[in-house]
Amino acid sequence: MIVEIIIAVLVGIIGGVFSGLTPGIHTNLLVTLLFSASPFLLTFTTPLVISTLIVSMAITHTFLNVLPAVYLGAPDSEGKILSVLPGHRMLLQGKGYEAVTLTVLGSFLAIIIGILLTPLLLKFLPGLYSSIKNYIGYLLVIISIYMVLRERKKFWAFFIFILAGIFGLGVLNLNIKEPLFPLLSSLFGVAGLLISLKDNVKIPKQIIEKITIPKKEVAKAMSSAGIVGTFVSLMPGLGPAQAAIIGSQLIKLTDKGFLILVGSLETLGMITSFIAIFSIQKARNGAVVVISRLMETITQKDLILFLIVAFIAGLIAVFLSLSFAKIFSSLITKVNYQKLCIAIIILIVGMALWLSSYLGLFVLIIGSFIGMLPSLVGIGKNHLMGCLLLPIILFFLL
Amino acid sequence: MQDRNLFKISLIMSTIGTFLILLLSEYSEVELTNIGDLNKNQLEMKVKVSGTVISARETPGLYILSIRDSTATIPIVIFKEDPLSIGRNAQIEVTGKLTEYKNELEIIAEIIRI
Repeated sequence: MIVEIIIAVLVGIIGGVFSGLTPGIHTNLLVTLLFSASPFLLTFTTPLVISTLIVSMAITHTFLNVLPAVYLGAPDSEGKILSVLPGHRMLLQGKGYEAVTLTVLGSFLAIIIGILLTPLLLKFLPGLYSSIKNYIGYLLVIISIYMVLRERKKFWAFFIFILAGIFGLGVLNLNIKEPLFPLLSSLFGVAGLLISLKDNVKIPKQIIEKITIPKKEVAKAMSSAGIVGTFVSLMPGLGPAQAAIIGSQLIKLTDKGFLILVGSLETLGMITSFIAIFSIQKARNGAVVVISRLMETITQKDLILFLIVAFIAGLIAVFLSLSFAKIFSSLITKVNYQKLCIAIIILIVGMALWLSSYLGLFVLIIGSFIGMLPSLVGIGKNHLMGCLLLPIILFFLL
Repeated sequence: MQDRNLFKISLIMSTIGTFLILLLSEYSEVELTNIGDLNKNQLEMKVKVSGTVISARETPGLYILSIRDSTATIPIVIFKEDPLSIGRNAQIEVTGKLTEYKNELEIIAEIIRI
C-alpha cells in the first residue's frame, strides 16, 4: 500500500505540474478525467490511493500555477499602476523570480499552518459553518459590495461585476460541455494575453539573486491568511483574489506581503477543503467532490494521510516551482513574448473548441472582451469573479 | 489600436454578446427524456428526467439517489448543502449533467423539483 501511495503522490505531482504550468488548465479538468478512468484504476488499486493522487495533484497545482500568472499576461504598467497585479509589477521590474519565490513561500507556510490549525478547525468548523450557513448569500453580497466600494471607479466596478455575473449565468445555463473552461479561461486568461499583445509589452532582463525574506511581512501575511483563509473556505465562489483583498484590508501589506498572502490563501483553501469534507461534509472544489465520490467514508486516519501527502507534495512542489521559475526567468527574455502570447491564445482556443464546441468558442470570444474591460477601465480584475459569485448568490437567496 | 477604441469595441461586444448568450441559454432549455433513452452521446450535456426515488444513500459530501421511470433506473448525484428532504417513493424531476461512472450513466443534479 505504501509503495502504491508513493507512486500515486509522484504521479499526482506530475499532473499538478502539467495543470499548473499550462494556462487555462485547472486541476478540476484532470480530476474529471481521472474520475472517468477510475473504474479501470480501481481494478488494481484502492479509492484511497486514487484520492492521495488527487490530493498531491491539487496541492502541487496551487504552487505551480503562479508561474503562468506571473510570467504571462503582464500589461504595460505605464499610467495604470493600480490595476497591475503585484506579480506582474515585479516581473516588469525584472523581479519575476522573487515574485514566484514569495508566493511559493506563502503556499508552503500555508500547508504548515493548515496542519497546525487542523485540531482547531475540526473542533470549531462545524459550529462556525452552522452559524453562517443561513447567511452565506448575504455575506457574499456584502463582500461583493465591499469590493465595488473600495474601487475609485465604483460605477465601472459595479457594471463589470454585474455584466460578468449575467454572462456567467447565461454560460452556466447553456447546454455545452465543460462550460467553466471557456468561461474562466476567457475572462482570466485570453483577456490578459490580449492586453499584453495590445501593449506590446517588453519584459526586462530578469534578476535571479538570493532573496531576503521579509520576516515581518511573512508574519503579517500569514496571520491574515489564517483568519481569512478559514472563513473564505466556507464560502462557495470566493477565490484567493477576493480573499487576498479582504486579508490585505485586515492587515496592511506591501506588494511582497500581498504575494505571500495570495500564495498562502490558495493552498490553505485546498487544505481546509480536505478538513471541511471530513468535518462538515461539504465539498468546496472539484478535487474534493471526486474524493467524496470515490470514498464511501473519510476517516480521521484518511484525513491525516491526506495532510501528510499534502506536506510531501508541497515540499517537492517548492523545489519544482523555484526550478521552473529560474528556467522561465531566463527564457522569458529570449523568446518573443508576443508570439508566446499568441501561441497560448491558440492553445486555449483549440481546447475550447475541443471541449465545448463552437458555442464554447463563442463564449470564449465574448468572455475575452469582458475580461479586457477591467484593464481598460483601470480597476481590479477581481470583479470578473461576478461570473461565479452572482449565480451562487442567486442560488442561496432565491 | 487606441485604448479608447478598444474599450468601446469591448464594451459593445461584451454587452451584445452577453445578451445573445442569455438568449441562447433560454432557447437551450432541456426537454424531458425517458431514462431509458439516455445514451453516451449525451455525456457531459444537460438532461432532464423524472421518476420515483427507489433508494438513497450518502458519501461524505454527496447524496446519491436512485430514481426509476417506466423505462429504466439511474443514479442522481446531489451535492450536500442542506439536509436531504427527499424520501423513498417521492416523485421528482431532475435537471443535471449526464456523466458516466463505472460504465453506468448517472446525473449530477443541478435542479430538483419534487
